[in-house]
Parts: sequence; C-alpha cells; structure tokens
Amino acid sequence: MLPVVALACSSHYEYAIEEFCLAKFKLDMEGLDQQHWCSWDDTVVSYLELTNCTFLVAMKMNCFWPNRLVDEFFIRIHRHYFHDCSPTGRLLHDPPNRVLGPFIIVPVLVTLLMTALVVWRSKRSEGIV
Amino acid sequence: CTMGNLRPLFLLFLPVLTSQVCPGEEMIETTVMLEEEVTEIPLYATTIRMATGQILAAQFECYLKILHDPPHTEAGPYCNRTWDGWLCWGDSSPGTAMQHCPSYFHDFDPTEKVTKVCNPDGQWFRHPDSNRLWSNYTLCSMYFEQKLKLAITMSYLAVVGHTLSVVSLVISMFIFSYFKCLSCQRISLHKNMFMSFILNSILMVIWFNIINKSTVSDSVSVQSSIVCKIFLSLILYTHCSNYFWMLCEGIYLHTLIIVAMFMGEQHLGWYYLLGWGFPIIPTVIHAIARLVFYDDNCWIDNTSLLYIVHGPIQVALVVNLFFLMNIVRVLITKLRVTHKTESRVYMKAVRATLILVPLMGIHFILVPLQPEGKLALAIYEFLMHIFTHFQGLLVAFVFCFNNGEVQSVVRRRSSQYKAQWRRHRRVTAESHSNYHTNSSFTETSRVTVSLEQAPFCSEDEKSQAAMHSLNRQSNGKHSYSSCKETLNVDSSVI
Repeated sequence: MLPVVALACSSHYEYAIEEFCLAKFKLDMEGLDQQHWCSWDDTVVSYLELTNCTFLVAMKMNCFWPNRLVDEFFIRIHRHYFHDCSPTGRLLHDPPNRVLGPFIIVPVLVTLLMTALVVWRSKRSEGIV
Repeated sequence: CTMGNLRPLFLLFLPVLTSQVCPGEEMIETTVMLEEEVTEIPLYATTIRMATGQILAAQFECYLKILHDPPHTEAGPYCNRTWDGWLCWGDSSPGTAMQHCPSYFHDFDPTEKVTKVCNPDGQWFRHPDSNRLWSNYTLCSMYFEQKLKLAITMSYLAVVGHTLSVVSLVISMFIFSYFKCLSCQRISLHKNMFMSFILNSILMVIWFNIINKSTVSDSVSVQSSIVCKIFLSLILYTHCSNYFWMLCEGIYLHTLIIVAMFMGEQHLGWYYLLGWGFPIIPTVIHAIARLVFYDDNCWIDNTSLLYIVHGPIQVALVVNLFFLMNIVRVLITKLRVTHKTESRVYMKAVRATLILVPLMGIHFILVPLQPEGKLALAIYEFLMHIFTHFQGLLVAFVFCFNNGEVQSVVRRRSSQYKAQWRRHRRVTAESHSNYHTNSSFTETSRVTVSLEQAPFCSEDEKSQAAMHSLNRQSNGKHSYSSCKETLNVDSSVI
C-alpha cells in the first residue's frame, strides 16, 4: 500500500471548506435567532451538515479527516458562534450532585420512616407501647 | 486498521457517498441524513443515529474545551490540543496520553484505554502506513468476542439460577400451603417473600432471553422501548420487594421476641404495606428521574440514578442486620442466664434469617472490590452472578427445605402414605384424632418447646381445634398463636 501523502491538505483545503461549507452554515445560523445559537437542538442539524461537508471535501482532496486545518476551522467557528455556550450537557449524563442528592436521600428517608412506622404499628394495641 | 477513525463517518455517509457524490463535479452536494431518512435502514438506524449524535456532541464540546482551556504552562515542546474524530485530547507533553474508550459502539468497552503518542518534537504520532494522525483505538474492541462469550455464558448461568429458584420456591409454596398445620404468621410472611422472589426470577428469565436475542441479532428494537422501560421498572420493583420482605421477616422476629414478648398475633397489614406497597415509591421516583435526566434506550446504562432504588435496598439490609443483631444480643445476654434451653431454641428461630441477610447483602459489599486482571475479573463475575441469581434457591432452602418442622411434617406425611399404601386399610378420622389428642396432652407443660417437637399435622380440623384449645388453657392467656415458634414463657424472663 503506497503511503498517501497529504500534500493537498494545505491552503486549498482551507479555501474549499471556507467556500463550500461555511457559507451554508452562516446562512443557517443567521436564520436562527442569536439567543438560540447555544441551543443544541436548534443547531445540531446545521452543525452536522458543516461537519459532513468538511469531511466530504477532505475525501475529495485525498486528505485525512480530521486534521490541523479542520481543528483551526472549527475553533474559529466556535469562537464566533458558540463562545458562550455551556461546556457540558449535550451527551447523556448524570445530573449534578445537588439534583441527584435529593432523589436518593428522599427514598432512603422514607425507607427509615416506613420501617419505624411498621415496628411501631405491628405491636398489638393492648397497652404495649 | 488505519481506517479506525473513519468508521462512524463511513457508516454515516454510506448512502451519501454511493448516491450523491459525483466525481468530476466541482460542487459537492451535501446531504444530511435526517432522522426520517435514517429509519429506512432499520438494522443500523438506531445504532448510527445514537453513535452520530454522541460523536457530534462530543466534537462540539471538545472544540468548546479547546477554546476555553488555559494555555499549556510547562516548558519544552508539547503536542497541541486536538479532536481526533472520536475523542478530545488536550495539550500533552511528549509521551503517551491515555483516555477511556468511548461507548459509541456496542463492541467498544468503556473500561479499556485509548492511547495517543506525542512525539518528542511536539507533533502527534502519525501512522507509518498512511502518514495520518492516528490514535490507538485497537484495544477498545480487541477483546470483544471473548467478553461477549463470557457475557453469554454468565447470562446462561443466570437463567439456570433463576429457573432453579422458581422451581424450588414453587415447591416450597406448595408445601407451606398444603400442610395447613404449618401455617402461622411467620409462614405467611415466608409465602409473600417467596412470591416476590418467584416474580423477580420469572421477570429476570424473560429479560435475559430478550437481551440474548438482541445481542445475537445485533439490533436494538426501538419500537418497544416503552415496554422495555416498564419491564425494567417491574424488575427493579420486584428486586426491591425481595429485600423489603426480608426486612419484614426481621422486623417480625424482632417484634415477636423482644418487643411484644409473644403476647399474641401481630397486625400483618403493615408488613404487607412495607413489603408490597413501599417498593413502588423508589421505583416510580427512579422512572421519573430516568425519563427527565437520562432517557437512554431501554434504560440499560448503569447510571448513578440506579442508586435511587439501590439506596433503600442497602438501608433495608443494614436495618435488618441491626434488628437481628439486637435479637441475638438479647437472646445471648438475657436468656442465657435464666433459660438456657429456651435461648438455644429461640436462636434456631432466628438462625435462618440471620444466615440469609448477610448472604443477600454480600454482593453489594463485593461491588467496589472489582479486580483488574482478566482471569480475576472472570472469577469475580462468576461469583457475583452466583450470589445474585441463586438467591431464590438459597431462600427456599434455608426457610423451607432446611427447616426441621417442614422436614418432619413432610417425612411424617410420606410415611403415613407409605403405611396406608402397605396396610391397605382405611384409618378413621376419630382414631387419628384420639391418638394425636392424647399425645398433645403429654406435650403441653409450663414451657412448651414446640420448635423441637415434631408437630402433629392432620387435615382434621376438629383435632386441630382441640389442640389449640389445649394450648389456650395451659397458657392461661386469652390469645394464642398457632405459629410453632411461639413459646410460652414468663414475661419476667425478658
């Protein structure tokens, strides 16, 4: 297998993705209200299109994907559009401890309460306390 | 395989590449695989959609992290932060950077490690064949076949365990229901607990069958995901109810021996509430939390939200242990002084429950002790599966088959049948009852130790009532309990 030399992945690639991919993405994002730029549900499709596009251009130009230029491209995109977005929360993840805590503590406390209740009530009511 | 990094995108773009990209044209039509189109490929639809979504979200968060992380402070050359297509890598000094494998694909094991080498000159490692930047994901799926075989073997073991449990528990239920003389409050609690174990085992057998089918055919059916989630919730409910019925047993013994001092029957309604009614609460809370925070496919993932159910279970085990320790303490300290023989007998009543509680709790203790090596892990998994899935069999054995009373009753009945078969004579009911009434006269004394004696057991209600009225008279108390563990003791003893 001959080594594939990624010479084409220089300014040509950069130019190509700026021309073909960024234009559509810009249009999509401008069509969206700026407050919604950080909403993952609203932007996921455009982001997917953008990623697809950079991949296809790389394939066309015999580049491997991802590469340093792709990194820089996306860093610029994120700096412009997604600078203030929350760093986590899009993947399935456990809720933070301050939310998880009560969900666990409450059943535990109810368990202890129910146990005490059963111990107290299972005695016969005739004078045994 | 050097194409490792491209796998998800290839899967994603398979229809795109074959249908839309026309070589020679300058404009490239980009097609987006929207969710509606994805369902046309039913076998891969879910896996692709889920993997794509996860990978894209990971990419988004990676570039945010790259943007916001503070710059590298150490001196010397270092490799720049980058996104390699699947995982995010920060600024690294020359050497090997490691991360856990992602869980995008079913054959990726999240406990395995991904490695990425940073060369001393500050460049990431390039694969010699293709001269591309390359991270080593080979370990993630290398042992998949072996682990799958192990998992399938373990699931067969689990099915065997649960089936044996169901069979033995059904036999025990039959024994307890058929021999009416055994019935008392404690046996009612046993029967309810057995019922809970039977339900749990049946549900688990069905669950393992579903899992095995979906692993073999490599597809996850999304249509029945609501059914799947309800099923899992039912399994969690019966699992929780197992432990709470154990707790009911412990509380009953505690109340019987220490608190109520054998003064008579307890109100079982509260026990039913604790055993059947209470587990609904953690189950429903878990379902709601899961729907809101972590609604993955079929709720299979192991998340911290499972502690919503396992927390109360562990609390129940600890409280149960506390009650039983208290009983043992009382029996040893107070009764050893005054009534040696009785304390030995009381201990027998408690022994069964005392053995069972630690054994049921042991797999919770073992969970944090998971070893690393392959062989040790296999042994560990084997032991955990034994402890978890053979619990029903253990419970049936300890509470029924190993119980002296049950053994003597069954032996007596089988010898009766043998005698009748041999003699071919009809034994009248009256001669039976006379025989047993006489013997019970000699049995009643100030302290009736009925645990040791083989209880009489006939289906003649008259003779049974006669036996009970004798007990009543000898006690001098208003109430009686038909339960064989009750002992008539001076109230000054405890």
